Amino acid sequence: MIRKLVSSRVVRTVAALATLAALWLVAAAPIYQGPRIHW
Amino acid sequence: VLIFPLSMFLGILAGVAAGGRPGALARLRLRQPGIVLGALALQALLTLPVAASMPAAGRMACIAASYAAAGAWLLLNVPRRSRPFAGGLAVTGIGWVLNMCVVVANAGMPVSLSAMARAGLSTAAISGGGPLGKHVPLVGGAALGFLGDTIPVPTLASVVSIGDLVMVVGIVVAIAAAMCGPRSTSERRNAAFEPTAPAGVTS
Repeated sequence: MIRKLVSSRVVRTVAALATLAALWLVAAAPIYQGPRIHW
Repeated sequence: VLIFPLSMFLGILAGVAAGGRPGALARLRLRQPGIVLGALALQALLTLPVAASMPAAGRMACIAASYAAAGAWLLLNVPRRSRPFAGGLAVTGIGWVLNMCVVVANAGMPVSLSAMARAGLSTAAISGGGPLGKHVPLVGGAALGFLGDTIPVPTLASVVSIGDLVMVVGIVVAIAAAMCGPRSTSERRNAAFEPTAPAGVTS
């Protein structure tokens, strides 16, 4: 079941785009007024 | 905050315009995603309340380590890819270098307060180091200040750097290239994708 989910095209596409999004968050540095992490 | 979704959308549009398919993104295998996720976690740590009392050197070390990890991830993912995809990542890497230089030189990304005003942002956006704890106000005499966040984008209520814009171009190209995929057998050998088994062959 989990193997099937991980191998699904949607999950793979989301994983690839999420990795690029994480790269963007780490290396790019725009400032904005939007949401921010609150602890 | 909308810049990345916008880049993704532009990349998909460009990919479709170039004859690619969004479904091809499912075959994209980015190596070692844990590196870039770890780098993101490291930067997120800087927003912890306890990080406020962290010495400047420690803060700087975290930011530098996260940028180094992002660079290592890019280096790891460029080899043995299709030329367009590798080109997209290489352009993204140029943006990374531009941002890293100014961040390391100023212990954070310097942000122009006048650009923030032009973009309709209040100074509260930069308090505590901004969204990921890596922003500092741009003061006179900042090293490489022109590479800082100095370009207001009022439409997106954001201020960006030259490096950010270069990264957007790289990401758009990389996504579009990944959608087009390998087209010939020789290109497939150097593709952005893992080799797939021929029909009927199971592993």
